[in-house]
Amino acid sequence: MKIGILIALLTILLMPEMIRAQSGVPRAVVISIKGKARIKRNKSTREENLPRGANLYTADRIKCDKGCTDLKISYCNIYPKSVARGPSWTTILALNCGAKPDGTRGGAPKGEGISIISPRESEFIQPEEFSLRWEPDRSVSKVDIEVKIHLGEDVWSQKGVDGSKGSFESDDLRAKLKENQMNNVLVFDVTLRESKNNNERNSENRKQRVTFRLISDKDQEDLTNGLRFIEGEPDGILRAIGRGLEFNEYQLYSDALREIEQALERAYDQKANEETITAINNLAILMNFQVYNDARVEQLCSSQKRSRSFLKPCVLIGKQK
Amino acid sequence: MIRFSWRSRSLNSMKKILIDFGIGLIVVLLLLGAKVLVENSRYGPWFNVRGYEILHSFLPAYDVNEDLPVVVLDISDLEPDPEEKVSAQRLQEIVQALVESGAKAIAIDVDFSPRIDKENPANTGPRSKDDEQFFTFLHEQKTKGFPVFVGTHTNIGVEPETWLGLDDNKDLAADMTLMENDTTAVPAWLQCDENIDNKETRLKSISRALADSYPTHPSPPYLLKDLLEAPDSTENLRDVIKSDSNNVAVVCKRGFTFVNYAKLELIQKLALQTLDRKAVFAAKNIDSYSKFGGKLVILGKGQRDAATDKFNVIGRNKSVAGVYLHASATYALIADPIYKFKHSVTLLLDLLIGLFVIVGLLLVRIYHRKKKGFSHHKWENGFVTFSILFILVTGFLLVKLCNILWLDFSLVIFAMLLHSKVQHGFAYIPGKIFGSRSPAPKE
Repeated sequence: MKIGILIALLTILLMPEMIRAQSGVPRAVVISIKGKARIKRNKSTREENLPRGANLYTADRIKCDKGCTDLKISYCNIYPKSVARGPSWTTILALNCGAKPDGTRGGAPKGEGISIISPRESEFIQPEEFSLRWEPDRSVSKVDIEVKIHLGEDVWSQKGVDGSKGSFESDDLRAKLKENQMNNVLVFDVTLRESKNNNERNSENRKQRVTFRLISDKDQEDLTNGLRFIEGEPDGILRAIGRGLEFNEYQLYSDALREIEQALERAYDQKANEETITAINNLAILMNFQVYNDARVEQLCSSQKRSRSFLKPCVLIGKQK
Repeated sequence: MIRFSWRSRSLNSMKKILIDFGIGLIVVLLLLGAKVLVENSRYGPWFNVRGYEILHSFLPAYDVNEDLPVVVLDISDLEPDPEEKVSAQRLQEIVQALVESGAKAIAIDVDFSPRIDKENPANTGPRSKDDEQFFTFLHEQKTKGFPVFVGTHTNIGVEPETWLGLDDNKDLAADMTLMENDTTAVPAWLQCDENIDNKETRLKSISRALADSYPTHPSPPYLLKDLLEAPDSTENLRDVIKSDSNNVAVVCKRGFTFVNYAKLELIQKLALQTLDRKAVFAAKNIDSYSKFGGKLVILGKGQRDAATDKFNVIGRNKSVAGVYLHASATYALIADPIYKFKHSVTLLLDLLIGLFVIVGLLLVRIYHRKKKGFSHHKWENGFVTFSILFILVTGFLLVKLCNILWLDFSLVIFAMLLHSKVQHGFAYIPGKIFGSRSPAPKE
């Protein structure tokens, strides 16, 4: 009889824990407490003392208020986190310790991964001019580069490239791209990924992929002919502008920008009249806008001597500021 | 032993006609098999996407009389909170104003799921400290009968409580996942429960959640309904691995929505940037009605360099922010859906077209078998040309009239073009068997 009462008593006392054990695993654990912290289990309004080592489940609420100087919990038994001191309750959330999201996230804050500067998303390029540039990061010592046909097979890859340099060029890769251009395969994905042995734990988040396009073989031929025609122009400024506009016609904006910036530099060197400089400046603004170089657009828009340019990019960038 | 001499017989003898018919039948079956192989190879999606691109260009892009039921509210320039995150307080202000303006439903394309910050564990937890209060506000709207959803992505696990951190918040969650490698379809829902119809554990995508809040849902053409692939059908589901609370991998299922991008540019052009209460109320059309009245509104970052999720949509040179993909998918679901045939139906169509050529040729040859100077190659070319024209016209009409994309039509045309070449190649075999030294009989 006494044993029966004892079992019944134990059952009542242990019931909440038993229910909890059935309903899932703890999401966090208390790793240190200085003083007395409090807990409200799930939707209960009853406050209890929070012991060190206690398992914390989704929707539990904890606080470190009067009589508590420090409370540390650990999510997934890996990531320690101090609970802010104060009268407000902190809710334990269902963090997915093994989260591996598929697909692509949307609209959230920027800043994850390695930032590829060139090629830009959807940019047209010539195979011979292909070079990869990214924001150099000292914490990234090695990166892996992969190039594949968009929706298709791998074309080229190289592991263990120096990540702190921020740029990479390869004749072999250019040759492969050229070969594909000849076969009219024109859309590619380039992926820059932090090498796994570099920082095993974080490597999955540190990657970026950009889709770029090659101009077709026929366009390349027309472009070469066009450029050859312009080479006959004796005036350096006009020649650079002509080349820039020729590149622009084939949507090779980076190449076009290089030429127009060169023309602008020459115009300043040769002390060309204000009208010429303004005209080239406006071209440079448009070209920089095309390649998303907003800082340079802002700089060029501000450099207009008479007044700030009313070109669309200047207005747009101005609004952005 | 009497050897049958191929050349000694009449070229249009019944036996030869039947042998040619047999070869034709084998060729049709072989080409059908080859087509299935290509479809299932790594090049299959490429062909499908090209077919989609061509057919999709036939869909009307702009109709002056059409009032789009979906609006994107671009929050790229919304002032962030002190943690540099999308401000929940400001979103609350906008949502409140949208509700009062008569919007039909709202979804926010921002990942509100809690997260583990490996670099800085102190930041592990909710996306922003204001989210809890924001969710309380959204629940109040839900209680009043107003459908509102927030995005989830990073933390999605097997249990619904992972979507937004708490089981109580699961009714607010909408999956914002999009696929980089194929934008012809976007996710419609994710189900990690064994019971695929369990509504409690089904995580709807932003587009599906919004569409389900809308009163009208167009149906496919009645007569063709059974021939079309249902987005939720078993053959259209894909496996996705998610981990449960014990960190055990679980195979979940994901359904997809076929996207109509015909109005993409229009949706982009009509995106609004009303970023505070006053601006939301001020956004009115020529009849002084709110531009949000009766609309499904998606809030998200839609400007270049502001959005982190940018996608290549076929037929477009510029990359497209994810919020516009959600908007296009929502539009497809509630206003202008596009369909594709079931795989079995496309195979049947392919077979019928192949049979049309060889049976047609068989009948013509039997009819003209005694006629001198009759060339069955000319007829064969005629049948093949007619079939290709039929495929092209049918493909065009299906898109124009019924919004049905016959995706593998390019492969079928390719197979038709190959048909006579392969058949002539096969004529070697009877030639060898029956003693002919020439590759194929010439007439």
